[in-house]
Amino acid sequence: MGRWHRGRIRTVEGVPVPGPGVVLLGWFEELRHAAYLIRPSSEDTPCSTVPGMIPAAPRGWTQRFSANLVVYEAPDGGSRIRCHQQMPLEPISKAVARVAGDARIEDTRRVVSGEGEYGALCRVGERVVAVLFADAHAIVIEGSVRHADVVLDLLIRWKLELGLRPRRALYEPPPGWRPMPNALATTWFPPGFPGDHAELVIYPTAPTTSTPHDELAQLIAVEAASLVGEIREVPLETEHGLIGTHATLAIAARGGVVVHRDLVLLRREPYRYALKLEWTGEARHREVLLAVVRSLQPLPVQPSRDGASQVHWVD
Amino acid sequence: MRLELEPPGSEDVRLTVSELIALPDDQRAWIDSALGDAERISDDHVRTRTGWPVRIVVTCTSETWRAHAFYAFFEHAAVAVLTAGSEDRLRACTPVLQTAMPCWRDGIAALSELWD
Repeated sequence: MGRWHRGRIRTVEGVPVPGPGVVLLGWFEELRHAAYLIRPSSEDTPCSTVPGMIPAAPRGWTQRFSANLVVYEAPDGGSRIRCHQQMPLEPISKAVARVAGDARIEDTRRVVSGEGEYGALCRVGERVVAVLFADAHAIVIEGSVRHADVVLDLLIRWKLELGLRPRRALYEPPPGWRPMPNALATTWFPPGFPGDHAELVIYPTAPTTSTPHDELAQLIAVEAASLVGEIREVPLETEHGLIGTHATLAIAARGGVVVHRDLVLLRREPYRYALKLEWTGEARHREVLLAVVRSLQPLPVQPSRDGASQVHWVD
Repeated sequence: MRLELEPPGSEDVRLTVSELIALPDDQRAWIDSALGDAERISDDHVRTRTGWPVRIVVTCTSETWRAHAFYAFFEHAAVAVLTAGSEDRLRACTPVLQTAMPCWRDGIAALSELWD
């Protein structure tokens, strides 16, 4: 193990930072050159970096910090990669427009970071832009196409440290239906709503240890007193490897209205995937539900840590 | 979040549309405030083409005719106003007020939209 020092806070360049705080410097066998710097938030020292693990500069490159920006300068000094840390969560075309104007986007690829977070990589003229999507913001990395491999490497090594948590599911939305987002969940309404009274809810994908059958039983138990008729339950397995159950039931609602409900609960370690279709009147939208279910992608799972050197900033 | 509806299709009829707002607790006061002291010619509780409730109030102030449409979409509300120089031109365009649809989108609605 290494040694820890308590004392005055200094920046990575060695400049003293006003205000109370503790510098912890540890030399570990596996992190021989890593410095963990804890900076205090105070009026004298506005800290604009977000919590997270910023990848160390590749060999020969230099790293600089600015307001919500990390810059990596190539060994020859002629090229820079900029990492914008606090960008809005938006489609890649808008993210590219912010950093590269209205240039044409080519070769957009879906990528996954080392933590299992989704991202995108595309070419914009002689530049490449990579976007790492968090739940509510994005990291945008841009550099010369000559250094596309470094840009991609930075995205893969960028650590958001969001951990195992409820996340948006990845699926193809029902064509023509209108969304009503609610945090990580989204309710979709058919074009004729509310005359065509139906709604499709895609719940956040959440880590769980329960089986789909047990979770279904819990959901149904809440409304057991209002159940009309029998519950039908059939096993379901998608081509993407999600396994679970599809239940259909009916509930007596206020005013004598019968509300029909399709519940789909699927599982693939460590996440649970849940969808609900609810309607009154004729059953016209079950195929829409099943199409969304077929399009559901299992969320990437975080692979093992790479152990690369990091500079960890905590505000 | 915004209100979407078809244009009036007439150059001398102007359409203004509000953002979606949280449904006011006192909806009567909200409507009265929007209408002001204008003379109320008609006041109809109808529905949009797809079935959302809408209250359409036609008013007249000197030479200006207006049709205010007040919408409620679950817990959100919006108002659209048609303005014309005559009652005939206004009435010809008021059906567009019943094409309104809410757009609750305030950012992405699905992860798949990120790779556009």
